[in-house]
Amino acid sequence: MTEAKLIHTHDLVKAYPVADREFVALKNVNLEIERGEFAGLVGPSGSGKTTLLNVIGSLDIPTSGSVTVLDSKIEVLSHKQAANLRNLHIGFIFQTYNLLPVYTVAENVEFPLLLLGKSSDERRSMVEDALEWVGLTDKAEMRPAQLSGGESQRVAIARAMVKKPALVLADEPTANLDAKNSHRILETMEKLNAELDTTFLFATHDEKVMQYMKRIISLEDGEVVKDETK
Amino acid sequence: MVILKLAYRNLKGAGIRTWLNIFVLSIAFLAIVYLKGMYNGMQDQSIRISEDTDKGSGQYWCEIYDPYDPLSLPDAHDVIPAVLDPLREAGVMTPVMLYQGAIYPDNRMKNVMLRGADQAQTVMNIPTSELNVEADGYLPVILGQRMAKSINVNEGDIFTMQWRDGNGAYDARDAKVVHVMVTDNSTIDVGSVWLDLALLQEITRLENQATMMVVDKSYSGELPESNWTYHSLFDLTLDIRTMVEMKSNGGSIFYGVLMALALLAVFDTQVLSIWRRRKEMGTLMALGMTRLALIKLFTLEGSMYGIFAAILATIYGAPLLYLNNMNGLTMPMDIDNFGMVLPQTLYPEYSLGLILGTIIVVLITVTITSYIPVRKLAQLKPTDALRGKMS
Repeated sequence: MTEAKLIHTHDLVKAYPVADREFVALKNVNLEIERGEFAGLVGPSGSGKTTLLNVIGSLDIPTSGSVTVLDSKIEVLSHKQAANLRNLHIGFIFQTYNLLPVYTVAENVEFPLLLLGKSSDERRSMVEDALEWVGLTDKAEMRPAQLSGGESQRVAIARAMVKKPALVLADEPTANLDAKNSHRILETMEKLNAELDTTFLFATHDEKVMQYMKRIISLEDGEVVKDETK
Repeated sequence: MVILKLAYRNLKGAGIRTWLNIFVLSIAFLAIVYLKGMYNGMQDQSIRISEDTDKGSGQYWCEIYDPYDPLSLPDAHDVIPAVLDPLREAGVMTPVMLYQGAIYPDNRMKNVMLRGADQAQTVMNIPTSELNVEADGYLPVILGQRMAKSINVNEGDIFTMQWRDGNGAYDARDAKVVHVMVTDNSTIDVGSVWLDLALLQEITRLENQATMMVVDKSYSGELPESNWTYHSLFDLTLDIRTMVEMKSNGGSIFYGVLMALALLAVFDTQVLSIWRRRKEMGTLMALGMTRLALIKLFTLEGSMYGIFAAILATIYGAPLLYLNNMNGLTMPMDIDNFGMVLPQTLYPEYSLGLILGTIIVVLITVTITSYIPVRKLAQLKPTDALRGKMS
């Protein structure tokens, strides 16, 4: 985990069978992302952003090529090892928040810690910290249905960040939010990136998000067409 | 432990859906315990009554006697084996003679079984001492309350009694009802007329003869060999156990249907739950949960219906079952016609084994029912689940 390169893809190809033919979502993607980056995968719908994010997040496996995340080769990981990698080192933020509806805000944030087997005291203190980062301490006992979109996404950020993972993958995190909430969410993530040295990788086509990115990787039809660092 | 905590939170969060399933299951659970308890109580009570009133701990039968062959009855008597005399004299055994006869209450003929027993016997819980009275020259007899009611006679009434003696000659005399006994054992009541054994032997000219010897229920000593066959209480109550087993099997269909309905609700909830919570499953996997853990979580959620149903059934069922256990269930008079020993009021018996056994059976079936729809999660891809698809 000491190596600077957090993510490394080499000739990554991901293809899906669609009806009687094959749809290639990612074509020979070669990418390196270092620890502490605040980077975005940008491109139009269908360009392969989410697919790349899923493969990096070990939710999917490449059809060919290689993906290394935190020294783990995604293509050779068993289902259990992949789950373990996600559990220990990766946080996810989804466009639709994906909060667990029957849990309170605090319980949602606590969930990854339960899977990590943290003690009750540790969990309580880590959940308090995470809710403080996103400014939702006063909403700890509320249910997701009682929150606004912005608040829900902040809970999702707290859930992704509570275990202080090395990498956070955010798939269109502001797509369902208004401009004010989008900026607030991005500022929160920017702050966490700076304070905790967590690597953030976004998939987005939102101009507002792109303003915050320190590195923008443009995808088109599954290929990296531009990679620029600000 | 984590899975257990999560399953509990999910069930709690599901609200009314959870409680409806738990309630339906608890009814099935309670119905099984109630019916099983009722059958257990029926069997134990019937055997206890039989043991107390006419079967003792067993019976010696004369060679010809066969209760299932009415044609054997006219000859079902023999001289009491001398080898049994010591136990008879010690009050451990008492002879009973069964003899066919007829009575004519209100000039109507009714075939009856004349039952002769020692006035002083204490082996059977039958008030034979009531026969030790002066009956104004009539034959003193005891009737059971059912018999008295069916022929419309009361204590002190007189009717003509007819029989054939040991030589085959018809004889008849008037008999006086000296006592109407109350007994739970309808088989010694309906169609029976009890009289003193010595008197029955005298009027039938069958001196020192009897049909059977009843052994006291408290006697546990050695039983002598004789030319009369010994039948233990277990053998003598085989019909009761067979009937209860048959009834219990019939009851199994009833609570099988009840369980099937309750399990259908659980199955339905599981299928619906998996369908509705696809995205949630994807999220759980993204957060680091394995497919096996997901299967465990969803199966456990289903199993917990069974656990909560047992708890709920205990909360509202225990007082009901207790009340039922105290007051019993009074049967209609029709049970007299069953030809079996059945108490008028049935008291269920709920053993720990019955309750624990039922809990285990319910839990196992609920767990299997919960697992069946969950199996398919073994193939679930996280990316499909996150998109709301099932792989």
